[in-house]
Amino acid sequence: MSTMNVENLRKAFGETEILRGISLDVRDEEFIALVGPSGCGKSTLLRLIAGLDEATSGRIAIDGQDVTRLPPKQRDVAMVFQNYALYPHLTVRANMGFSLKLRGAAKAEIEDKVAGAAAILGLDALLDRYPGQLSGGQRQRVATGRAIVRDPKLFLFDEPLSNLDAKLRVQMRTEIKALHQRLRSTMIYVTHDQIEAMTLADRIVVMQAGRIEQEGAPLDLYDRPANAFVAGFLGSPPMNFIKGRLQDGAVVTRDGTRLPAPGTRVADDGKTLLWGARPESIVPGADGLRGTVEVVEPTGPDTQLLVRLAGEPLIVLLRTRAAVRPGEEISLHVAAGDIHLFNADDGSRLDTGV
Amino acid sequence: MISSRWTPYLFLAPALAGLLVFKLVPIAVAVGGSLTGMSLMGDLRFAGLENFEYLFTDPEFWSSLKITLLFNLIINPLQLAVAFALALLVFQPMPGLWFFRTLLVLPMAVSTGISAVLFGLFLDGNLGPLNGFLEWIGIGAQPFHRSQEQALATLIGIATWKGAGYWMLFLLAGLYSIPASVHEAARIDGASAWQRFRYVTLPMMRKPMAFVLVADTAINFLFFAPVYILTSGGPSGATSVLMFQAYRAAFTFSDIGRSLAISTILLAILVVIVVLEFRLLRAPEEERS
Amino acid sequence: MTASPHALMLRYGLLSVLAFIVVCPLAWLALASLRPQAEIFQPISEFGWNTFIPSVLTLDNYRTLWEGDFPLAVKNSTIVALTTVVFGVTVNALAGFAFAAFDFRGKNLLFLLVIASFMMPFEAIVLPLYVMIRAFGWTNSYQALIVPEIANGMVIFLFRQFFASIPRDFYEAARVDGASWLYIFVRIAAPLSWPTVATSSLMLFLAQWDSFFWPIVAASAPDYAVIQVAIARNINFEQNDWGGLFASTNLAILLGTIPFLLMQRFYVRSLISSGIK
Repeated sequence: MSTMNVENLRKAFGETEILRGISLDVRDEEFIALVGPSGCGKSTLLRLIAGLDEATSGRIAIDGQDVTRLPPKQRDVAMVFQNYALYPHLTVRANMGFSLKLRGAAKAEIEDKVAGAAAILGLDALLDRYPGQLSGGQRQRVATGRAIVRDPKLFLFDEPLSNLDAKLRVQMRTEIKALHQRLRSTMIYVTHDQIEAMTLADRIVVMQAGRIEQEGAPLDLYDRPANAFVAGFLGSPPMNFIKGRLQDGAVVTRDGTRLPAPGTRVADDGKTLLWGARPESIVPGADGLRGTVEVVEPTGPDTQLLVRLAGEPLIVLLRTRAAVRPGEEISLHVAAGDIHLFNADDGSRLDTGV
Repeated sequence: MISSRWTPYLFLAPALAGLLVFKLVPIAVAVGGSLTGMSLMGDLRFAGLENFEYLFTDPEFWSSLKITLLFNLIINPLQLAVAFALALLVFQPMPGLWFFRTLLVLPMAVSTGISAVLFGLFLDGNLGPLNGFLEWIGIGAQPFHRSQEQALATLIGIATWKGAGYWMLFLLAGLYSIPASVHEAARIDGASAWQRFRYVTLPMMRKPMAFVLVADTAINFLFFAPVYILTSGGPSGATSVLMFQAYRAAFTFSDIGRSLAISTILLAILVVIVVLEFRLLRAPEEERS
Repeated sequence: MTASPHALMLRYGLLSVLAFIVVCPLAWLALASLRPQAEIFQPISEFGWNTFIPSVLTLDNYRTLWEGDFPLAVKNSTIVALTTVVFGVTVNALAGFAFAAFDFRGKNLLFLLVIASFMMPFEAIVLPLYVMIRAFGWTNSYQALIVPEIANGMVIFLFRQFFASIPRDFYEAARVDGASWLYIFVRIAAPLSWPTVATSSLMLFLAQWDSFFWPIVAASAPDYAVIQVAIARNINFEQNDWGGLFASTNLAILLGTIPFLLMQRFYVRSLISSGIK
């Protein structure tokens, strides 16, 4: 059993507030992804949990025990760093066994545990190499191995894949997922890459400017984002937004185009809204949103269009090889359930009957 | 890049000619000249190994070699240790740090010869304030460079006063080049402050420490100005390092051949020491690659 | 990580002691050089505030100094140091540029020569160099002091590092525009390199200012004596002209430390980069 609870955690460096009151409960065996743009405080939160920095106020508990003021040594957490932070003067074997050696473990036990972790990660052949002799992907694995050997209460990952090239990143992502399914340990994973967060996590925590914007299962967040920020952050290409005023069940744009807004109440009429639709939920259809195709980008499986609609650029992702050409008119349709409405002033989601 | 074939050499010629004539040729002159009997007057004759034979049977040479080695055996580790301690002291940021750093490196702008003159006055038995202070607190005045027992130690002290801040800079740069995340990884791995120093900082400082030790040794084997200015090799030969012997052979005894033989021996020792130290201090992760 | 206040106090304490050890002799000398001649000799039995604090401040010692042969030594040192700086910067910058901008046969071997030349301290070859200089008939002349110090491996290295940090596209674009290499060096590369020029100048200046062994061997005649030689020649520590010795030594220290303090930041940075490769 390893749970982790954070209560009203704040961190300020001088006048600058990095974390403005974070509360979060992580269940046993859960894989949590902390995502957000750079500077949102996600790495700071991870460093506070690790004990590398001290919280200004608030409380951190691991397995119910208050660890807020304890040094990292006494928290029993392991961390994988963005630049791996391997000890360059130690072999892979010594790197992985370092924490056990410090703890005064017996030689045989260290050997045993290092061999076990190396087997899981396929590092057996590299144990006597030095970090300088390894590729990026291998170093990443050693850094993960160093964490596994510890058998800690909590695994912390700080953007562990961001220094790898795109192809390797996908491969290592799969490996980390498999690792979690095998070890069933509690893991907290910081990333700015929303695809990594979507694919890996049981639960995603989206942060911005030191606050949690929304947390929940990946697909719940994707399907029902609580605000325009989360809606725009998750998904690639990102959600399209068009600004307009609500009137008689439609969002009327500056040039008078009426975008369907099903389920809206008359009471909300007159509000300025952001009308949102994900690129893949916009499909060709006969019922009316007419736009002009400006750019056609076939990617193989999909075709991405840039359409000018109501004077705004709109990205449309078609799952077919569309026979459209730049300059052509196109009629587009969005299903009622795929339309997202947000208040333009604070970005919050507008409740509708749909 | 296309350019005339001679362009690069034209750019290089003046500097490389200088290096060749004034840095490389002298080495050949030292080795060649050591095999001759050459006087200050310019008479020249081939002497084979006579100069070396003379030196190797000369007790003064052996005692000078011993003093040079003893001097280096003490001063190099001492300067490295002091410089490392200084680097650790000025590493972590704190208010007013630049002030201390500037003061600690200041002696590098004071030439070795002038440092010797300065300490000659500062340690003087009649007007030196340090002896005044020692009298005042009851220890009593010390002879320093005027006594056979304390002369070598005094020179070591002066050289360390001048050199420690300079070498500190290189070690400080080494400390800065250790990524912060490696220290953090060690903290998470459960290392105490001492363990982080012992298992992370120290091994990762091998390279800068090797550099400092080698460069420092090369300079200290050729220690000269303070000996010339303060002790003239004395008292009773207590500070007669090899470089001073080489100078004396040429300018007191007019025996250039013997002087060059000592220079050659110094050059050879220097090469051996530099190679040895590089071997000893090479980081293990570089041995295979 | 926040250090404990005790550890911080200890650091300040240790640093203060060390800084005192460094500064004390320098400060004592500077103050003593401002004493009247009669007051300089402070017997050690009278240790107290007076040991450090003069009762009257006077420039008499410096005035007397100015009437003797010390100005000649200052002039010699200045001529030697400045000439070395001017020629040294030019010649070594050209070589550094060649190593950075061109590919040519023997480049690695020649660069190794450059590195090796600054691994070996100059003092090691003073005596054989003397034999050569004597053969050239250069003893007791300015060129004996200047010429051997112009080519400097460390300075070549610093310039190479700087010029290599400018993308080659930069030079190639100028080539395409029809510029000659000399034009590129003089008009494009050299003006960009002013921080390296500043550091190298200080480096060459201090090297000459610091050199003692070579001047005393190669140019010991009074007409060519540089500051250090002049001072060393004048001391026997049993003399009457303490004032002159104190003032000249202090002047030599100030002339070295002031340019150093002004350019410390640049200098330290380049020095370190040359040590760590």
